[in-house]
Amino acid sequence: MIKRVVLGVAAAAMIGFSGAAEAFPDKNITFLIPYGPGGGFDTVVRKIVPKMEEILGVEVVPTNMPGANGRKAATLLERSKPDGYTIMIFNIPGHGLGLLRGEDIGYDIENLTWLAQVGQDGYVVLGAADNENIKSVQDVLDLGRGIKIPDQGPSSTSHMANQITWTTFGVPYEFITGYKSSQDYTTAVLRGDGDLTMVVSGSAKRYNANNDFNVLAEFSDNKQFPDAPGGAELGQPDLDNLGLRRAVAGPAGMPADVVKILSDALVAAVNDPEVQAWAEETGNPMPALGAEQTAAAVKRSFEFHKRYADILD
Amino acid sequence: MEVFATFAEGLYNLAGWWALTLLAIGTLIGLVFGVVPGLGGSAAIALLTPITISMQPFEAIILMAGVMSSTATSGAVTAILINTPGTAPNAATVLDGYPLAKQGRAGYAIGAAATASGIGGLLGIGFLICVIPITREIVLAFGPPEFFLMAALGLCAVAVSTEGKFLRGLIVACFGLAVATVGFDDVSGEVRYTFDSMYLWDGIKLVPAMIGLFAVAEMIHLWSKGGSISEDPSNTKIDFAQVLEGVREAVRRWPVVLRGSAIGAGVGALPGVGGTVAAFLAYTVAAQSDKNRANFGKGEIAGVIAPESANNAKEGGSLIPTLAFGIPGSAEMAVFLGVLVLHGLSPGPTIMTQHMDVVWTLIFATVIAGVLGMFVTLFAASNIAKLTLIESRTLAPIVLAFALIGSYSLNNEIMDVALTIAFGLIGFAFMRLGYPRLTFPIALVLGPIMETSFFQSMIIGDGSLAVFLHSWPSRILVALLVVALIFPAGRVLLKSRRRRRPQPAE
Repeated sequence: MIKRVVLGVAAAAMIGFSGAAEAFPDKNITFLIPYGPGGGFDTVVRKIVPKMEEILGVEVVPTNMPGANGRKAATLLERSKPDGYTIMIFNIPGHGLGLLRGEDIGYDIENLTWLAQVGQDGYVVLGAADNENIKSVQDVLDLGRGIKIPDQGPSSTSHMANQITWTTFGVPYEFITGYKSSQDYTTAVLRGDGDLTMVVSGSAKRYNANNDFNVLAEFSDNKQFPDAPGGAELGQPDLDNLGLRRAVAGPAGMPADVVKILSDALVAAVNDPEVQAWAEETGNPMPALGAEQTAAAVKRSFEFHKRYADILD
Repeated sequence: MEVFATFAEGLYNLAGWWALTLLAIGTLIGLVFGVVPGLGGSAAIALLTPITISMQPFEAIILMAGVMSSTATSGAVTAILINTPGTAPNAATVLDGYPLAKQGRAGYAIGAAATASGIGGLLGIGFLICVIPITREIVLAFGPPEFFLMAALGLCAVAVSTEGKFLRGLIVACFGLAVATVGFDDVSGEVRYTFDSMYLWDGIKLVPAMIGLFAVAEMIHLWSKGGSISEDPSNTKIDFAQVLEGVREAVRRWPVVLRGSAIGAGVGALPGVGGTVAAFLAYTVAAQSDKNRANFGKGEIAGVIAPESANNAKEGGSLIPTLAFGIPGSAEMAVFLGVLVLHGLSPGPTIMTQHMDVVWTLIFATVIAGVLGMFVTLFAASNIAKLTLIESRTLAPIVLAFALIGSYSLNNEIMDVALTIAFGLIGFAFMRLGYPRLTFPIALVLGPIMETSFFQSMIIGDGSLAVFLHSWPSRILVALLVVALIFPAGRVLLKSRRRRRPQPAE
């Protein structure tokens, strides 16, 4: 614990006088996590950090900096030198939500230096297994009334996924917001607070271990539920673009050699058999992507979501 | 029953020097983090997480169990000695703990608090074991309407936390409710009263505000007043005998302990309500039903025993939603969940079927750590309690330094320190003007719960208030609420009628 604090201070002090990095890296790397300890993003980072340290030969210090839906950590990232010693994990498209709504989010998310994708998940529509009225998306369309969706709130990625999905299907919807986490609002569906909700596939797999839910649909290009219909089967192939990516970036303007070293280290850490086994076991799909593919995937995600900008409020 | 089949395996994980050493280390760290205001269970778990990466899952869990089951025990010590809850769930303990310290009976109060904590922790775990087979039903029985009613019931605690100044207590509570609205509102998606500050986006945080309101304000007050916390230090003798008297008192008042533990375990089982509410509810019930009613707020030992048994019993209770659904039942549990996932144990429906041995290890570790924490606190009590005899000139700077460090280290956020100082001045103003401070944290904790769950209930029930009577748990809660509101009023009415003939006593 003390070690961690000392390292953090040392890393912060060193950033001040970092010269031309001849052999990157020669000092500790700060890995910003824009959430508190214990969440999905935090856990993924902490799982890959030891592998990164093995590869890079320096300490990689996971630093939790929750606040203002990622803005606090991202602002710090943007102000850091683009030398590779400060990197951060992003929720795509979640952290760009304000941008999609046309707000000034205080940093330029589209122009960061993307290093790697360390996780990717599609979205699943879950209804309670004991709900006789809703067994499929067709049932939802035939319901003849609007649906109620328990959800975290307008700042969450699942909120946006729901808005896009049900607008596309033309189903009127109302959110019951304010649940603390995806576990919380899926349990709310089980309790009958609302009709259905959407969560990322990996979580859905975990929550549905006892088959408490009906998986009505899965929108993804990397499906976890082979039996559930996707957007294409339901006549809305566009919806398969929905999803959540865990992507790592540094400040804009990082040198190409540093990008390559970090990107390779991240991809290798994610593809480590032990990490992949853990990912499988805990339901955190972790398909890795290199720097260029990640930048392209992030761009695609924003382009897709921007088309729905007028319904995201 | 299948969940009990792995009982021996769970116990076996704990047999061995390494496991027990880890448990002891966890317990000691938990005690230290509990004592320092600001640092609590969640901070300790977050800081220890990286160390556990190389450990076996059960070893990590043993270490964490030590931390979780001891912070609330030692947090009472700070509450009693310097009128500052060491962790948020100890807030209710200051009401009667601090007056006892002023009377030179800090050892007595700590003795009773530690004993109540130890027993409460055990009863909470007992509750957990009893309900393991029906955890699912419990979690599914409580939705937003029930949460709203629970929060409303908790708000009744305001009435007994006003130190006899009811109207002023209400004013402070309203201030707390107003402050609770600051920040991003996930219900409406709007940002409220942040004045474009990114810091205020996440609202006014409870712990830094409480450190200011209590620790900082208390130290400014003590400094300006001079002397020591104990009002008559020359005639005060704090020794182990006094601590033992506290222990005996806690045992003698077993119905208070039992009631407090039941409330703690029950409230702990409901995700999103937490130990702070549990402790205030337990205090309220004790203050309403105890025969020494009039003495509450002036140094009544039952006012220490009730919340302390509740905030430790809540640990057992809050494991229920954490394990069964992966929904944290308290702040520490939220961080603890991350530790479980990191070690490949997915909390949720499968943990009871696939990893029950680990759950048993957790249960046994919690029991042992709870008892260990109690004994360490008891043996240290008479020495720690001598703090109340120290001159404020020496004490205040040290406590202030600890308080501000605690506030900073919570999130490594310098603005938290500024918030603490601001609330320190507000708290001092409250003290000088004779406003009770404790209703503030009650309102700050309950405000968001009430607001969110009321909104959710309204959508679930299509705008009809009937949603608050839709199930048996909610009907029972409504009945309790009615009793809580009418019972004291009725008693006051009766009392005033009886007193009209003889001369008024108070």
